[in-house]
Amino acid sequence: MINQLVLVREWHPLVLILIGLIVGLVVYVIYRLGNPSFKETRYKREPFLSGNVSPGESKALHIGGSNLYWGFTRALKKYFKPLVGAHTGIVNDYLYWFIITIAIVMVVLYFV
Amino acid sequence: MKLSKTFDKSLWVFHVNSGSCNACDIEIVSTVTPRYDVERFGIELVGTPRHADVLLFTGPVIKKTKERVLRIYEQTPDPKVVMVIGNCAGTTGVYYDSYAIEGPIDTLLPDDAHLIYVTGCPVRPENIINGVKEAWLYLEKLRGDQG
Repeated sequence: MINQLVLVREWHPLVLILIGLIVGLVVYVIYRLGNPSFKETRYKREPFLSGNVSPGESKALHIGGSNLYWGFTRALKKYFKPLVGAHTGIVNDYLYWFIITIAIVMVVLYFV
Repeated sequence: MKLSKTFDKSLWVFHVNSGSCNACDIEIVSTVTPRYDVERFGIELVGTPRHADVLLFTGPVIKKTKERVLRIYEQTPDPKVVMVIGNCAGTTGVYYDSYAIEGPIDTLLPDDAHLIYVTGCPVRPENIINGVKEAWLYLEKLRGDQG
């Protein structure tokens, strides 16, 4: 059967069942590693936030890239400002930039 | 209650200020200074109750910290020991009639919580180290009882 499975190049139900069994086994092993005397209480599963109430799944937990790199972009704002302006979101503009860059590269390569 | 084998090596301690004047907190910090250096024995102050075996509570519990104290207590994995550091944590001390006081720590925690009282105002570092030793003995005894 294994040889048949190896030869199968497309989706096969037996492959799916095998994957399910392996994943189930891994999950069961991790479950058995847990402390059997665990007792559910009011706050036990909450994340530790210095004793404060967990904000749940709200956006208050989300830290974006701008929260980390604001100093970087601010220090190089003379460089980033024209770049942000050039990103219009219009595909035609991006194609113009692409064609212009290719043209410059071809001209340079012709004379080098 | 199942005791982890890691108790053979070290006890990790998490410190909670439930309304202290900071005197006991300073004495706790002095236990990890070179003079006392409890880290020699594997006793370490950790940054989250998820890693802790022992909870140190300093100061009386005030109304603003009551929920936080209970939350941190429950978030600490079992088995655990609570060390009540200083007279205020044990009896509310000089703040006994303050409008902001919820009560001493032992009136808030569940009945099955194992408490070790370390008295003093503020406590001496030697006394805190002795309290951690008592916590260690209790947890070792717990494992012995389980065979």
